[in-house]
Amino acid sequence: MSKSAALAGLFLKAEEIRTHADRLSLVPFPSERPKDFALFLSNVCRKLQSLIKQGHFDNVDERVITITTIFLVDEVAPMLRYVEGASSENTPANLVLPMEKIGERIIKGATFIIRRQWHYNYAAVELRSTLEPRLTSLPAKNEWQDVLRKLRTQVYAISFPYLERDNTALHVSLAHEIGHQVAPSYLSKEDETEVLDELHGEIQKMVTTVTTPDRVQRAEEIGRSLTRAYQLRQAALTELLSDTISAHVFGPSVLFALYEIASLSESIDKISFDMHPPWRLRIDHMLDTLDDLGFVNKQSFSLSCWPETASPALREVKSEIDRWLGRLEPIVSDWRDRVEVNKEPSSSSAYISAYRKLADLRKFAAGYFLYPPYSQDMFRKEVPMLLERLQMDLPPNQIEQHLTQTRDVSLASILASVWLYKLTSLPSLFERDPEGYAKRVHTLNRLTLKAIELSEVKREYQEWQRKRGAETRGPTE
Amino acid sequence: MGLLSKAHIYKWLNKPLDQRLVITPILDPEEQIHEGSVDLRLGTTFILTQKTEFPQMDPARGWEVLAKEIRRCQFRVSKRLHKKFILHPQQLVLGGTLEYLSFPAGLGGYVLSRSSWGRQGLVIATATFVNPGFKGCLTLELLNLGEVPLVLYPGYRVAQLVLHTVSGKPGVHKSRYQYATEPEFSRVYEDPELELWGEPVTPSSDPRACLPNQPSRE
Repeated sequence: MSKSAALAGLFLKAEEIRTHADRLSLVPFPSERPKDFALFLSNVCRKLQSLIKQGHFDNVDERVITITTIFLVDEVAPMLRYVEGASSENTPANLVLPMEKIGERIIKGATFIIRRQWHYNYAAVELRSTLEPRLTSLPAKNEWQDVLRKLRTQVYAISFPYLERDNTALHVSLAHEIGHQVAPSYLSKEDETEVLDELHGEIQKMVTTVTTPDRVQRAEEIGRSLTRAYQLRQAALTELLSDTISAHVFGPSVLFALYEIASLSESIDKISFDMHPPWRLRIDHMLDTLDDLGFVNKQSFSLSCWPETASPALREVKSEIDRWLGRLEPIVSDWRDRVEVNKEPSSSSAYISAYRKLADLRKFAAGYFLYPPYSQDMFRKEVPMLLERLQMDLPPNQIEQHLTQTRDVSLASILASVWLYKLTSLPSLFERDPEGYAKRVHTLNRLTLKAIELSEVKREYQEWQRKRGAETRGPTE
Repeated sequence: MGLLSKAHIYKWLNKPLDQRLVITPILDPEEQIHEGSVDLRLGTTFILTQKTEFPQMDPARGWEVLAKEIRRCQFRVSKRLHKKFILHPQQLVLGGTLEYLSFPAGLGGYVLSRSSWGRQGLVIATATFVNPGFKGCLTLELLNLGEVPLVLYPGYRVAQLVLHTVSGKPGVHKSRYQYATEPEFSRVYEDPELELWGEPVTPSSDPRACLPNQPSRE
């Protein structure tokens, strides 16, 4: 292909991506973030076309043109799927803004795009780090830096499984993905040499002159194990820290969600692990974290934040939840995963090191938040009353003792009340009437989304009233 | 059976939760509750009709056909707060109340346009009665009878709810639109007697025959 033809191809690809990005920016979104990102991608293509027209690519090597074209089609164009999947139609729209706010409070200066994916899992990817090095290596570096200035320091696309779009309570798991972005600030504080020494020491205990008499083979195996052990340890700590962060944001709901995902995506009984820690370990760690935070008592497998003065019906809910928590006891006391982990020097040393860090991890998470995270006190005061509203087919958007005596509630409490309803009222309904059960689940999801919407609207209205009151009153003496 | 005054509306709104008239949220009780009515706000979701896909509205063609046609021809649009929705002259769309309502067995109500909006040509309800026992957001039939496009925003107080007690022993009506949280598509096809009164359908009289992707009548 001639250089001129390659340049024409690049120009056209940019044109195509720009057209799609501009069209997508007009779709209704639950927040401005996806639209902003679509317009950013459109601007990237516009800038590229403009530079081609101005002759900036006339003197570059033909390979640069080819590589830039591949970059456009393989990396820039596929990013449009994050925008497409973030439309109001594709997302639990009322949840998106509050979830973005949570992300932006936890990771200052970052932007979050919440979008669907057909894969059945939650995932996060940072987009700016893919774009920036490639764009700034193109001709006219300064102009690309100007384009990039329009983008926040980090842009995270957080994906949820589309099949669960309406299963709003399950999306507390998005906080786990946000938590992933906190992990580097924890891991970077560690002394790498110390970590490697620790792992090396543990591996040496397992790879001995008895197991591997040959010196060269032993050295090779220790080297191989050390690399894998380091990767496994870092991955395990990242997952466990993310679980901890999510527990601070949403309380016990994250345990319920973790269990639901574990049950759906992979049998808890399957004894295997990869870069994710075994489910049993994660559930165990989550129980420890929730115990630390005062939500559950891990010794007795019971909820520890329920009002003493609750009505008999609400006391029955607590008993039901305690029974649910009790079912976790055989899961976390089953050590088969750990036995499996201990078979290999790499995984054994990685998890020995990770276990030693768990308490420190929870301490780090507790100190990470610059604002008060979700507390057992809020849970106790809000969740039982919100649950009563759900039981009466009302959205759990606020607590109303009296028309003029209402109490705003947190998103975490709304979602916790939904979980308690799901765990206590729905299972028996399915046994009696499967179709009625499906309708009820549908209604519950709608009431949840409505509650989130109404709670946000009210907050905004009250803020406006406060501002308006302040303006009407004028400056105070 | 009488129209509820402001004092009585407050009384019903402050009863214990299981007997209460719930209108949630009432963002500003002083502004929204009047002598004899409660203002309701416009919600964030709308249902529009895609006329190019719509052969005709004939409920008697059977519920399966009609249900599919309604789904094919009507679509939802969500508007965030502070995003405008433009209603053109003679355009009919379905909107919903922002507030979620729960009527106790002893109360019924009527939804009416607010006169300030009516003077601009906006009619918000043509099916106005709310049964005792109803729970959900009300669907509003938004129609611009004026001559200029109207710009609407979610949160605007466009409707008013007039309440009255129910005489006799109140029963609970089970609405087919129960627990709606946004405007609902029509379910007129669920009326069993439509089939009795409608003209029998023959293949040649079926207007859908000329349409691609016909929904199955099986």
